[in-house]
Amino acid sequence: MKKRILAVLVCLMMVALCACGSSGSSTPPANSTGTAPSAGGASTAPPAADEQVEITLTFWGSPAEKAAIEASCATFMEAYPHIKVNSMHIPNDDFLTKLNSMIAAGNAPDISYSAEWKCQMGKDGLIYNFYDLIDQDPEMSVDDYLETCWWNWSPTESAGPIMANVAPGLMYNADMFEELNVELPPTKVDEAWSWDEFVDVAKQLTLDVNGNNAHSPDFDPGNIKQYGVQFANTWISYMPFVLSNGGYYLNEDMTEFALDQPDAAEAIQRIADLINVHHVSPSAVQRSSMPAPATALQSKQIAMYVDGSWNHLDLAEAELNWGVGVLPIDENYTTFFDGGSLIIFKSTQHLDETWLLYKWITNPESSKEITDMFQSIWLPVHTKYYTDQAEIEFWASEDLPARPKGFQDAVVHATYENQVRPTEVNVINFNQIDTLVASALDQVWLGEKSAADALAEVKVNADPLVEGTYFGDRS
Amino acid sequence: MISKLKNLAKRPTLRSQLLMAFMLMSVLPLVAVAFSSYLTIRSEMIAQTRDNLSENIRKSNIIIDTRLSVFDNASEMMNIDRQLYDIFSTIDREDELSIIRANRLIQKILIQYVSWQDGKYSAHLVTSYFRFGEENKNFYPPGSFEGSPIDIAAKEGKGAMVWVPTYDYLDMFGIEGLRDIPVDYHRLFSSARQMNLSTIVNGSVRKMPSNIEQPVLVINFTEDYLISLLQEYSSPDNLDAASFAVMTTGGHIVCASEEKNGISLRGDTSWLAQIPAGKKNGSLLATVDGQEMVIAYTVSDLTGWVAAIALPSRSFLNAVTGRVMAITIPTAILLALMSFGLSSVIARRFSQKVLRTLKTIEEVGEANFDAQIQYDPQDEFAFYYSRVNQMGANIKNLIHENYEVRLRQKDVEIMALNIQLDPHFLYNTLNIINWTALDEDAERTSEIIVALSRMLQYTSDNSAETTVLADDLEWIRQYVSIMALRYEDKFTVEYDIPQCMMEMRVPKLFLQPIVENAIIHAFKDMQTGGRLVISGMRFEDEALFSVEDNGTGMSPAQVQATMEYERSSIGIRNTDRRIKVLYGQRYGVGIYSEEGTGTIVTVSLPNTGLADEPTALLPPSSNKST
Repeated sequence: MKKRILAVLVCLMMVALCACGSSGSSTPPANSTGTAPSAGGASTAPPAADEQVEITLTFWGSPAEKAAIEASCATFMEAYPHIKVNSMHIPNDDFLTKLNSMIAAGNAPDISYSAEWKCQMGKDGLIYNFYDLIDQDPEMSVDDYLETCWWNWSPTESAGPIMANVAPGLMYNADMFEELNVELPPTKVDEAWSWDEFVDVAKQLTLDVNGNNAHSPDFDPGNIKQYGVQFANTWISYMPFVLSNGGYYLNEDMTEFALDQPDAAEAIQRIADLINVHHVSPSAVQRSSMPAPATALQSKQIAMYVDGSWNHLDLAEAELNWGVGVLPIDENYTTFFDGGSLIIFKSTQHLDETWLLYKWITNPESSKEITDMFQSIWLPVHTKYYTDQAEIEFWASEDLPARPKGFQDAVVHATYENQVRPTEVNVINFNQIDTLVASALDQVWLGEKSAADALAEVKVNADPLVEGTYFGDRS
Repeated sequence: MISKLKNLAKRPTLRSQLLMAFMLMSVLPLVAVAFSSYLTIRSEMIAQTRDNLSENIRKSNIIIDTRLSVFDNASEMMNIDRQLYDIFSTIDREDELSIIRANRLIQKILIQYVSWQDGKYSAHLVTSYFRFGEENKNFYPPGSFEGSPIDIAAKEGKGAMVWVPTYDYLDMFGIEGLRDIPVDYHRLFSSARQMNLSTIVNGSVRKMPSNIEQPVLVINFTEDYLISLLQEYSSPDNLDAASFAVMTTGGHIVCASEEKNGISLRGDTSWLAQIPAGKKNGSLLATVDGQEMVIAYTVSDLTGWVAAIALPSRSFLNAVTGRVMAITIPTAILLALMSFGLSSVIARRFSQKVLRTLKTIEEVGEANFDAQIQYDPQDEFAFYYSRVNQMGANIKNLIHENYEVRLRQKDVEIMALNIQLDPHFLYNTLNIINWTALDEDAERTSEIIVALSRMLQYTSDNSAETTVLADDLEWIRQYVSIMALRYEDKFTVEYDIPQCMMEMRVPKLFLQPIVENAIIHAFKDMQTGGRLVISGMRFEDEALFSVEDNGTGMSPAQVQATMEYERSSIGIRNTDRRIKVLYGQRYGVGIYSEEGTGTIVTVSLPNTGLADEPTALLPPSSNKST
């Protein structure tokens, strides 16, 4: 009898507990108070762990880059639990518009990817002078970086070094070469194709629907199934050819636009001729009904693609039999690294935390995610990663999936040993001038005008924008 | 083990019976209450979850509709965009430069209308000759857009925005060669509007000439975008287990969240049929993939699609079950342990009460009949103890009656006999009789008295159990001589016993009952000619004596009676028993008889007593003296 009473009591107690529990919610996870591992050393002591700060990063990039940046922000937040990073991915085309609207709304990010327009922001006092910031961090030095990688808006004011390099290069689908028994592009500068050899190969690789290549007298340029080559048709892909051919963006005095000059125009004309004369490259209209170049390379619609090295990750992820070669420049091989820099807005309320994030993203060894980026889509900007073979192996080992055979020769050495300051970084008002040029070149790519004529027309509008270079050397 | 249990089930111990009773009384009510409270909480929680989810999905759908309606509104505005009107009315579709230049302008215009932040994948103004808008996104192979389901839907919309649920992009536009390539536009859903560009000039509407192809605005979205919106805006606190989906009322999936715990709304859409016609919001209980789910739904006014959020009821009921169990199980275990303990204690106390008497019973068994159980008269077992004590007393009385009394009786008898049969007194008396007989020349009387005297001397002299055969035979001769005087000429006795047997030890007087039996019974009908032969033989392992008569003989029944306690032959039976006691069961007396012919009584003894005098009959190997 006693037990029965006890059982009933226990039941009643239990019912009461259940009733209470059903209306309550689960307890939130306890605040993590783990200490941050040193990420190349934090220059600033993290504030009290309970003081949560939020910083915003705006960036662009392919889906793969977006995923990698978001993942590295996540590991950064694990390392620094008091910092919440709000990472905003904005498509490249919309980026400046969006950023501008954010700034106008008084809602600027703390840190952002940036292109040439950042120099104007620097002049307008919107962003920090990187030299001021790096001076305060004993762990970092201006001398650690490649000399060519600095984005400056004046000799003493910098928007920072390029956060991660990219380099123009030749990418190809090796299967397409093998199918047509064509020798693969060389990877050493000494063995680089001449332009004529390049055109010859591109013709062999261009097939019409009947299987005739562009050398064939029966070749039907109206029904091309696969193209030998595609150029990105941006300055990054034609400037190496301009510079190697003895051309410059500006004249010797750096007072006038100079792409219309014969050496420069000739190099651009050659590229346009690939489309309109040799029929080995798709026109702009044809491209609108083709997939994006990296996809077109994978799907064997183009055999070679000349563009920046950011395409490597997409190619590696496609498990495609692809390779890289040096540009078809057999004399005076001249090229450059390029890339945006991470700018820090003066409006930030959390400069210390933003600086930590800056260091996290730009240090190739800060975390697995960032290392992965530097082993696939990015190239480092610190000099040591190009001069010390062990360091080269760290990020450019050809055993890495996004580093095909010949990568060290064709990309690392060919670019490092033949680099000049990138046009975009050096030429004042480059973005505005380039917009004019790109529009004018539409006619050239379509074969409606010669490069010399079209660029001569641009010169009228471009010259007023020419203000020389940021670094004082000709570009 | 099993047999043990079976045994226990058949004959449950007191403890297990108590245990069962306690368990039934405590655990059963506990389970019943737990179950009923579980049911109550369960139905309450389901109702609560339904309300919660309905409200959630309704709100998030409003947000999503607002987000998507931005495109609807923007594209309406695009229809009257002066710049677009100008571009399309002046475009020369044969002139590539004109197209490319138009494209550069249109890209900028599109960004203004359908901006980056609205989560679209791409936005294009598509014509049969060119895709205006973002590059490096999805593309339309030449001629593939015209007549595609999107194009047809847009045209049927006659200028209204149409929504095309998720489709396979490569199939839709017949794209080959990208099947194995990871492009991010494999699966898209789209909104499309047949543009009807017009502009107002000087107060009058100017329509696009009919010979100019009007573009179709196509805004593409990825499934991920919509599902992330749904999840972002409708995830209530603890709904990690929730599945989301948007689908047409026909069950065509627009987007669905990843499979969670084996459940996705992507597969089984039969629950759609449960939505009452015309109902815009609600919730229902349905079985999806074999799991009971709470599904809340709402129908979008913009797209007409059903947005749904589903939660397997076990996901939130598990917590209830867990909580009920968390209390019920430990309580049940506690009660079970208490039942176990209590039943053990009670059973032990009970056994102790019973076992207390055990010592006393054992003492009684060892004849200590005075052993008494000490107990408290108030004890509930007092009656039992008093009965056990009574039993001891009763046994004591019985023993006294049946055993001690009789023993004393025997002692008295023996004493009396001892006095009556004092041998010295007998010898002296017989001696006086003998001398008196000789004085009176009664020689035969003297012979009898001398024989009797010797016989008595033999029997009383030696109390040993055995004697040598020669002495025993001498006694038999005396006995026979007396009997011969008694039954004059009625019989003769012959002895045929080898001399070598004379020293063997035999049980005293072992032949006397047999000889007596023959003289008294076998020859009782004969006047003369009775013949008795006593013979002995030695074999390897036994000595065999026989007493053979030629008297009346016995029937088999008589033989059996003689051997089995027949009163008249009690001596033979005793002889047999004595031999068996002395030497073992294989030795003893045997009777072979035939009516009218005679009887042979044999006595077998072990061939011993002559160990110091080996005979030829013994095998040399057993001759221990050599």
